[in-house]
Amino acid sequence: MELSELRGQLERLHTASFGWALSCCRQNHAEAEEVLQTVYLKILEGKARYEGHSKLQTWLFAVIRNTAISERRKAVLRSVGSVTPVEWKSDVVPQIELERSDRQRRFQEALQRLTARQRETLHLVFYQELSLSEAAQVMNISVGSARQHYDRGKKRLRGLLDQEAVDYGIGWGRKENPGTVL
Amino acid sequence: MELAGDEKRIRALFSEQRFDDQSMAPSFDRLWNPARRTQPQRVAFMQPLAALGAFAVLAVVFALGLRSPQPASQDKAHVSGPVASPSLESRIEVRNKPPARPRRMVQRRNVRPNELEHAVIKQAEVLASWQSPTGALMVSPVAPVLSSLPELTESVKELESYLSNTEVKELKQ
Repeated sequence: MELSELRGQLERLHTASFGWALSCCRQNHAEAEEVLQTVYLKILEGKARYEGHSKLQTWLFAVIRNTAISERRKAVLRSVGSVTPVEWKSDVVPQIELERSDRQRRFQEALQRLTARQRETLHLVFYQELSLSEAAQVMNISVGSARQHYDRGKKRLRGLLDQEAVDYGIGWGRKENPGTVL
Repeated sequence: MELAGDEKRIRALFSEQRFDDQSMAPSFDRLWNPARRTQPQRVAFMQPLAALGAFAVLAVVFALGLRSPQPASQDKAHVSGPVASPSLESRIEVRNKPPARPRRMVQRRNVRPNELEHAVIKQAEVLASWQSPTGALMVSPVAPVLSSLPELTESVKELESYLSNTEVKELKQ
């Protein structure tokens, strides 16, 4: 594939790629940007090469996932010698966090309580609208395993959202009344 | 039905998240262009490095090529030396390749032991003739008596020879 053609394809997938990078980096924006830039560099250097065996999107997402994992591993190794421990909690910019609705924030908290595989599967299916087999390809697991993560993750997420009393369902579009006395 | 409803809700939450992420995502050029700028620099850095590596390999090969005749001549010297042991000889034969054999056999006759071997031989001789400095103190006129034992068949007269003069006198009295 020509570089200009590849550039066009990557640009088309950029926002989706960034969303996936965010999911892989536990909603850490700075880390997601770094991971995505590293992925672009890998592609330009030829370290990550698209062979055309699968969809470009699934290949790109697999590269993003592997890069995020290796970056996280490097950060852990760097922190072994240092005094300050690695911050595992998502360090989303406070302004961005404020902009998010309360419902969305609770949803993110519930997502973080799922296992990594369950979170990834749900993200790929619901957010990226990939099929289960494509999600399995991205995560480098069998379709059966992906289905299991999907079912368990969905069930657990529903439980967590019910527990957190997130406002969804019938009153989905309803706006919260700040004047309501509870 | 309930599950389908849940799926809808989860999908709605994810689509809301996607909408948020899209508004916060950096532009493609912001990430692509720095990567693009970094990439040629790396290639430019790698090319001289590769050339330098190739040059180093060539230099080493060339140096080894120049040095290779020297070990062969040393081997020849070792082969004809008088102190060369059979094991050493066999090792040398293993190291030498078959095509070089006829030439090596001719050269063997002309080679003499080198200075190092002479020095080793001299040192061995000195070591063999070494004597303890206190060895002279151990020499005694009765050394044969001390180093021999009386036999059962010896007569009393002969046994007296093992006694000192005073002891003999005392016995006679």
